[in-house]
Amino acid sequence: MSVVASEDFFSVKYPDISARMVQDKCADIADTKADTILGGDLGCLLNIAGRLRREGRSTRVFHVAEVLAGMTDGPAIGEGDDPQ
Amino acid sequence: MNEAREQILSTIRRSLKGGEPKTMRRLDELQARLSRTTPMVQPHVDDDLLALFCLKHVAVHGTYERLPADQIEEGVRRHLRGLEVDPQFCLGGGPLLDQVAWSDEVFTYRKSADKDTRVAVSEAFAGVSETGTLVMRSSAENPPSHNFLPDDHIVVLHQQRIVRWTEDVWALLRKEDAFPPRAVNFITGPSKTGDIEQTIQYGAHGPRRLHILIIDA
Amino acid sequence: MNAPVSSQRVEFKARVRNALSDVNLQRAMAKARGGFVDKRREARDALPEFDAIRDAARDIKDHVLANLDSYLELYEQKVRENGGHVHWARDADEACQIIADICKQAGARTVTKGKSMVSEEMYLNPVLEASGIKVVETDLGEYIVQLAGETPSHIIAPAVHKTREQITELFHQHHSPLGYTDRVTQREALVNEARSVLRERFVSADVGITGANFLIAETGSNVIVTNEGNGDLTSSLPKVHIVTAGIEKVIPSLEDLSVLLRVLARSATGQEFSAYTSIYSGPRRSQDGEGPEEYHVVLLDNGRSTMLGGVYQPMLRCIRCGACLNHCPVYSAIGGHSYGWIYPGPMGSVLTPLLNGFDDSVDLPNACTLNGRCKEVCPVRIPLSDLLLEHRLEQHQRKLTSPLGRKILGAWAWLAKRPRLYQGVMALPLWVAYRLGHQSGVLRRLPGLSGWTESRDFPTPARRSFMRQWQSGHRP
Repeated sequence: MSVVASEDFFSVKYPDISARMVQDKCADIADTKADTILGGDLGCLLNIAGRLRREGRSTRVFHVAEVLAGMTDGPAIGEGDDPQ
Repeated sequence: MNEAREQILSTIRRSLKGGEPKTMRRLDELQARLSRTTPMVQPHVDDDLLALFCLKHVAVHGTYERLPADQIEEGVRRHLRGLEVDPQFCLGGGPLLDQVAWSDEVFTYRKSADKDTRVAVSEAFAGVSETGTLVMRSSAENPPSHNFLPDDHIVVLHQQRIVRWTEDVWALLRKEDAFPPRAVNFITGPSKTGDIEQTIQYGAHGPRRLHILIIDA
Repeated sequence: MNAPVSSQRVEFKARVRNALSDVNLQRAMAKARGGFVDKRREARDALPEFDAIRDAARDIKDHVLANLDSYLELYEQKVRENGGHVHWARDADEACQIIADICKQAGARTVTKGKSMVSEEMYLNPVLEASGIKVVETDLGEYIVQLAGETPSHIIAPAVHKTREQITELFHQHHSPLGYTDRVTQREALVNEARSVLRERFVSADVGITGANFLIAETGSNVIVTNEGNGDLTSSLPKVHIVTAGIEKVIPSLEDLSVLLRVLARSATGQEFSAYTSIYSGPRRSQDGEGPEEYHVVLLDNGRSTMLGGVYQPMLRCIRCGACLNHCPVYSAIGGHSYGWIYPGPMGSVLTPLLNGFDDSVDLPNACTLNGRCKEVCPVRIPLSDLLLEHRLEQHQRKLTSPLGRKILGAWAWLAKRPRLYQGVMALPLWVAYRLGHQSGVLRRLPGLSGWTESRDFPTPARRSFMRQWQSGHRP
């Protein structure tokens, strides 16, 4: 897996660079046809989930800790209380 | 200039703490490391050096033919016929090439290559199995221009000169009278560039094709 | 120093904006993306000893740096024994002056250059041109950027930012007066045209200037690694050969060279060995029929000596392979010119503040996601992302960052060290964000973060945090 890690405030400090990177990343994610993606960096996951939602995609995004803790029955990152 | 030299060296010494030039003992240690020729970490290379050499050479777009020493001229002519190129070329020297009695069918030039040189025939100092690399050592009869200006480079290599690693080449070079020679050129395949669209294109500035005649023991 | 592009804060952001909206650049970068990465991975996978060799490469470089003064002196002595000359330059201006003087002495009218990043660091070309010398770059990529009036955007693929169509136009424009009036578009034809044009230059040059991948103390040699053979034609055909190198390029012996060559090409292009690796030791020997009559080495310090002994010393191990650029998602998004100086990507973001000044390069260590791929792929194990953090710390201490940013960071640091308080304080904003977005799970707009929400939604927190669910006994 390649990275779009979005350490601390990178996506806030340099939103346009981060936007370019996350667009490429989401295109790659779409190519894999995966329905769920996992990651280990929360900033990165917020960024990806935010972009996927903006693109209207239903790919679910979880932190790997949520999977280990068996919490994937709840909403994924960027999903509301009542996921469509 | 000397002022610059002294200032750079003293800044280095100051940065590295101490500030003083090395003691003689320390210098001796460094000299000892320099003259130590034991290799450091090396990759595993199978015992069949020839087979690996050929495999690696072909992988970088090279071609080769195996021949006995008395068929070098035929090998050269056959290769050039295949390319539809006249058998005239800049000729280098070495234990193998010096023994060839070239027939009237070929024209050889004992001179540097120039920008219009079509073909050069050289003898390799050694071959490296690890990477399929030819080692060319410059000398009066082997000017480096032969390695870089022709469109086609044909290199004669004795099978027994194929060594395992580059470290083995250093050992061979150190045995020669003139060490270091002005130039040692390691050649791995024909000239190429990836500078346009990061896609490999052969024949950038050097030879477009590299053909090796491997002389069987 | 006469930096042509300054990298002040505003300008960095402006350059990035231009780069992101430059269609040609984005097309070229998209085409390049992944290629180097895949090839390096294949080369690494094919060599089980790769990591052990990387360790050895790092150790060699560390050993040299710890004894740099002695190795430079040993090297210099050997160059002299070979009949060459060593010149020492404290900074770029001094180096340019030395080279210009050698060229003048040689009565040079044309100079060919093999690719040399250190000569870019010196801003050598304008200096030579100002004294009436025609300078011709001969690495194809560097030749392309020279025709375009630009500088390299990548340390080993200088024209990675150019599309084939742009190259066609450049060649048409510059080669037409030489008689190449057809507009060539195919890769092979473009390479052939450049070959033919540059051939004339190679054979007519008075002086050849190359860089050095390594300098060898044992033999007084310079090593040059290329795929095109341009470095060799530049080293061998003119009557004067000038080698330019940073003082950190020296290595002890040929055995050390073996180790470093095993990681260089693999890390750079994914090749096991580049097409040409050459070792040049001085001017032509008396019996040689060709080769330069004079051999000069210009050793450039330019701030390197002060990096020794400090936290940034590992950066001097760098062998300029470009792997960190190829693996950097930021580099791939914005291209090399956005960085504002000649060394781009992670290695550039560490080096530029050190060699070209802290004040003008505040953005570089910050424009990094700290994903750590650069550090992971570095053949000499330079902890690049850690050094970028060092830079940030130094900026913070030197108060180069914004006062507000420093206050926020300070407050956050204080809070983060008190986990209970942290969770208590964070509960309210998290709850507010949850209430605002709990139906859709995202906010489409966020005041103060319009840069973010312009191109993506902002995910809001869940009703109950991970920590609270875990503490209340949620178990798989």
